[in-house]
Amino acid sequence: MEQLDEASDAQLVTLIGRFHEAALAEVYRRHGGAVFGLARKILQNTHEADDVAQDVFVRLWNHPDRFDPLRGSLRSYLLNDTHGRAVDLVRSLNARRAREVKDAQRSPVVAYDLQHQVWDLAVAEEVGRALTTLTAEEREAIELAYFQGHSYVKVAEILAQPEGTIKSRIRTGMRKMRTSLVEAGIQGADQ
Amino acid sequence: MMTHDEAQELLAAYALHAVENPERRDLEEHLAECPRCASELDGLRDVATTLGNVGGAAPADLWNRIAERLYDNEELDEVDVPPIRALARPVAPAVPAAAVTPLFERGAASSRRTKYVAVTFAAAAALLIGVLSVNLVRANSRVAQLNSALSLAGHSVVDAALETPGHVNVTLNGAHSGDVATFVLVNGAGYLVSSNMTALAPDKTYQLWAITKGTPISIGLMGAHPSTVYFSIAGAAGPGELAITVEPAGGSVAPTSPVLAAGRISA
Repeated sequence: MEQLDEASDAQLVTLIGRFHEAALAEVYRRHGGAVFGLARKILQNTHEADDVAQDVFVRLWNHPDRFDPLRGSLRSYLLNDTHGRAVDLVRSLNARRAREVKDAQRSPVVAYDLQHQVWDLAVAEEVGRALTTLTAEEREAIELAYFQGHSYVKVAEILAQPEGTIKSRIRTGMRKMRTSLVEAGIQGADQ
Repeated sequence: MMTHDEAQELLAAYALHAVENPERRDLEEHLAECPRCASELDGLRDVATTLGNVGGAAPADLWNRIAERLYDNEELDEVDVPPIRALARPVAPAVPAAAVTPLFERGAASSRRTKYVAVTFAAAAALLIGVLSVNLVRANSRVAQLNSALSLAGHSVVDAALETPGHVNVTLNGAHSGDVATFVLVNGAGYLVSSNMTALAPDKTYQLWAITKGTPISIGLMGAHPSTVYFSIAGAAGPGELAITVEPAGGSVAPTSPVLAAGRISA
């Protein structure tokens, strides 16, 4: 067997399927920071982010078959799982805490924030370029949904816009981003 | 059922996890039947995760908490099959080499259930001997490096075990190599205290066995260069002896090489 630090993500997941704890440790070494970082970004709470990150890796351990390398990178898969769990949690917490909607309305520099959240500088440059193709309204809708964990229905409520309008803004914005990133050769969140 | 056009309108929001039930359920039903939408969703998720790739450092002890949960009962509840029994299934020493199946091999479905049945034997029913429930958490060199880098509490756990009243030390000696490894057993758990096991080739692994009534029962694999080993032993019939052999990397259902070292458990 080759060295784990030289194995591909897909090979590591195959090893995880054989109870190879060291392979999971290597996946964690590669992607643990990204998983935790996204969870903390959404939850704004280190303890809750820790719980979500644990869940993500334990779930990969228990269900490695759910990762399909043909459908995207392992980091994309893990971040998607992280996001889904973090959003579920933040929504339940929001219901409890009744987080101030007005706070969201006062977020004035959504595009600036988005552009500076992407960790990899090279990718950030391309993401930043892609973001410039979006209107301010499209960026705002995407940010409220993705980083603050709001449903599009909630985003519509926050922005006092029809739901159809918000759906359309998210759709148009995401497709523009997709086109820009594909043209730049970026296929999801690779290592 | 949601129409294709309706699904198309929602896909981007869904990629952001911004669609809630009942719309979400309807959309997922459509996705299950529409490869075009499913493919587009993959692309949109790539965009979302690119945005979400914010990075940062994880807490130093996060890995420790993950490792502790790998064999948690919460996961057993989810599928109601104890996965670890595959490690512990007693085997007779007479199993022919051709019947050997890697202990950690999962079936195609990669489910807990297939893990449970992954160890196959020609006459498994006849081979069940004792009741020994074993849970091995193994860390090879990679994990050991991580542990070291993350300043995990492995040593303090061992120290605590050594300080616990009633603990039992088991030293495994080889015929020609003196002390090979020492374990401490306490409250049904076992920890590697010290090891003189040299690094093996990558296609080999050290395998730990419990010898109960003369029959070796696999406790689990320790990797090619064991440094941190934890396992638990619970059940009515405790082992009388621990033994180590060198096996192919996937492990063996019965020892295929001479015992490298063995030591009696004496309370």
